[in-house]
Amino acid sequence: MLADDVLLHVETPGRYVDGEINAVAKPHAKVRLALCYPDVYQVGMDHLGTLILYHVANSREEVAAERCFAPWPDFARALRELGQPLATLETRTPLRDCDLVGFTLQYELTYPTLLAMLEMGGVPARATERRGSEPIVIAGGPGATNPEPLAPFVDLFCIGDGEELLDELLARFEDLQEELGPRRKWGPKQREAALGALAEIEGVYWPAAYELEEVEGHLIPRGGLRAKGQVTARLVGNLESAPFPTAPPVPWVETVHNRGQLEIARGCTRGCRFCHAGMFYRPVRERSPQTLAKQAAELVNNTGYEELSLVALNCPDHRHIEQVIEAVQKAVMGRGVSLGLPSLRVDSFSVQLARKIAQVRRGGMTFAPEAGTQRLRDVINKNVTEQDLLTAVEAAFAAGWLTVKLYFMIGLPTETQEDVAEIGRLINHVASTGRTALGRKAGRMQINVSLAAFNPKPHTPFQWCGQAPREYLEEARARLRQTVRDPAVRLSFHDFGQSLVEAAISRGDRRIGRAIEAARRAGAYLDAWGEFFDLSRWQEALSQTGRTAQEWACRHIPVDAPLPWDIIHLGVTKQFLALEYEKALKGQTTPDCREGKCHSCGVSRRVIGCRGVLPEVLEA
Amino acid sequence: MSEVVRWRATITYRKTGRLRYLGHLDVARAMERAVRRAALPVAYSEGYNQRMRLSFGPPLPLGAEGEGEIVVATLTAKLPESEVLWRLGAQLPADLGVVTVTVEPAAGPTALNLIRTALWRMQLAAEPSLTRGELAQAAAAVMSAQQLALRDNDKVTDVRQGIVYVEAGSREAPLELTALLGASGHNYLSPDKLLRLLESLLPRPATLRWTRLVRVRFET
Repeated sequence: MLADDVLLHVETPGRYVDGEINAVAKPHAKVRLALCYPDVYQVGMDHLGTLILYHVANSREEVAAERCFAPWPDFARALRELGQPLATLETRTPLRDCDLVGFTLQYELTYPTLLAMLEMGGVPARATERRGSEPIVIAGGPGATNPEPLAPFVDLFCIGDGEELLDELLARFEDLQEELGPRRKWGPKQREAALGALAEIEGVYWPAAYELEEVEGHLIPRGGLRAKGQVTARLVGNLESAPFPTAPPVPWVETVHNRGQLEIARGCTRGCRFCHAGMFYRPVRERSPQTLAKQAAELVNNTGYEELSLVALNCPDHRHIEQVIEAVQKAVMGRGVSLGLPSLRVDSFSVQLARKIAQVRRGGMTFAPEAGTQRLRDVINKNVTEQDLLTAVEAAFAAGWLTVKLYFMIGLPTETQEDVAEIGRLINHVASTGRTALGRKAGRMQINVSLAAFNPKPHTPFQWCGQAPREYLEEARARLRQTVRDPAVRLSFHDFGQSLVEAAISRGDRRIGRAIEAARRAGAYLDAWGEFFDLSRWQEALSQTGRTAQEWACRHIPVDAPLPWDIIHLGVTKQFLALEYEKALKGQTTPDCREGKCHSCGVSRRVIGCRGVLPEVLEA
Repeated sequence: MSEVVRWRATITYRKTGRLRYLGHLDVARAMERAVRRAALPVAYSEGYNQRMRLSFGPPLPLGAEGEGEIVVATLTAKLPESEVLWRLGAQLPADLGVVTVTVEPAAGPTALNLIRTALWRMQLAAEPSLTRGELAQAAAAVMSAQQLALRDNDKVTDVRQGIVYVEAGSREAPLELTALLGASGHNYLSPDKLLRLLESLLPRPATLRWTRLVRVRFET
């Protein structure tokens, strides 16, 4: 047991204190699953997916799902000095004593932290080094759609929506403990048998079962005796009946967002060509105003949260968004609860919605035009005009907002110097429009502009494109800083070094695993935090793969070449992605399929009525 | 705006066990959420930023326990004290448990306004180690002094008026200390400052730090 005294000498000790309201501790459960988030508590506790899986797993009588987060370096050091392994919050079970250790893959730069958590928890990081009796390491989330970089470390990847998949996996694991005896006593044979049995579940990828073949410079997982071929992502058809946590653990300490979450819809079919989520979470599935009202009331009764946030990739796209807001507001009326509506599309309808709900508290309004010219916005299929943006900004200022946040990307495919220059002009235009709209309050206007390097993601129409080289990005940044001199505008650029590493990992093959391991050995930990990120460490680590970071991140891949992540099928076909890429290069847009015709993305082969209100998933 | 009759619930609660590692704002937020879960008829401030009308006593140092911490809630309806105790208590873990509740019309000064002192108990670690007698000697020096200057950054202040009494406990290990210290807005002395002061009055140089610190109660 950890000496409590240690907590007197670490930063924010409250994050290591268990027993939060609604936390579930089952000391005598038959199966113990650690749900790990490879970042600190204050980041991980906001992750809705983890809360959903916590609820799903703990709903099984025999299963204890317990949370584990990455300790801040001061606490990690204290654990090491005391010889204490990293353990779960609920029952302080060391990771090495859990049956299953699961990670969510939200961001590539957290991968070394995943390795570090395994090491700190007493679990060998390499799958091949784990003995039969040691925990089975699983991973899911958006990052699992290219599992190859982490394949050396993860026993089984869970692809797609986790609600049903995790439940089935746990049920199978319970049976396996009967069939093969308790996990603690397994030898290599039993372990192999268990992995094979769990890999039979739809949506589970068992990387060790595949042989690798080098094709056109990439290691491609191909057949193997025990391999099952391409793995199709799981999909929850009906959100209405899907399990949802209305009694999640309530953090003691302040987390980044620190509020209750109501998932009003999943998926987006607007078809932005850079967007991984837009391809991963298809089709659009919605919850009804009635269900959401009920969940909102339960959430407030069970948590006491002072703020609820509606969650979706794009809240205003919910077909009944106005009724949703009305129903949820009514359900929590008089309880001193405010509503939040993040992720807004660029139009005045969104502003009206935000105005409706922001009666209690107001932050800034966020818009994401992503590119500076209409031509480039057409290329990326961001179907927004400059006029849309200006109208939305005007509406926001007219409604009383003083702060507006804008998102742009630089280094997009086909981007020219003119496109970059136009970002600057557009920002200045927004500022002058804002001044006129605000009149005598113009002095208090603030425009925060966030700019990031375009990051090509697997399973998107831009998966074949390279990231723009560092020198290009730096020059664009310098030029923008020169053009935008308005004192009300604050430009902030995402660290290009972090983007470079993110791009190198996200489209990598199994060799990237070696680099992640080398970076970890050289001390990489909590790299999403700028203060701990060290580019030279990563460049050194990546070069051990035989290619430099830049070569991985910036490479263009021929459209007909096999890809390391082809082994995963998300529902959207490769032909559709290729066609979208082709249309992008011609500057042709593809409208949202929910407003017109079907574009044959492939999802309709699996889901009946995928553009409708109640999509139904076909059995595989 | 029409005048509404308001009620005031004065609640004392514990902050013990591992929850002593929560900061003051964390406890305030946890209490606010517990009040909302309990669906108590609590009043809210007017205006854009609606806040629950809860007022808390002075913060505890991080890691210190409290056995009689105070929060005052403004209510819009009268509730029996036992019901507030029961409903709120059901929403809090034992380490943040409700001890007493009084409900009265919201008029005049609150219990928080009346706080003058706080009774503290602590266990100490000394480096190098000290005897009970040496600690008692320093405590006696405090009590017999008329004025006691303490240097805090560049400011030197007289802290004697913040100390009603301080005495060493009867044990040798761990060393113990009981102190009644000022806890009002204009006369507040923290236990850490008391230790700095005692260090300066020890018969031989040593540093003192608390290993356990409990605010037993507030006194008026």
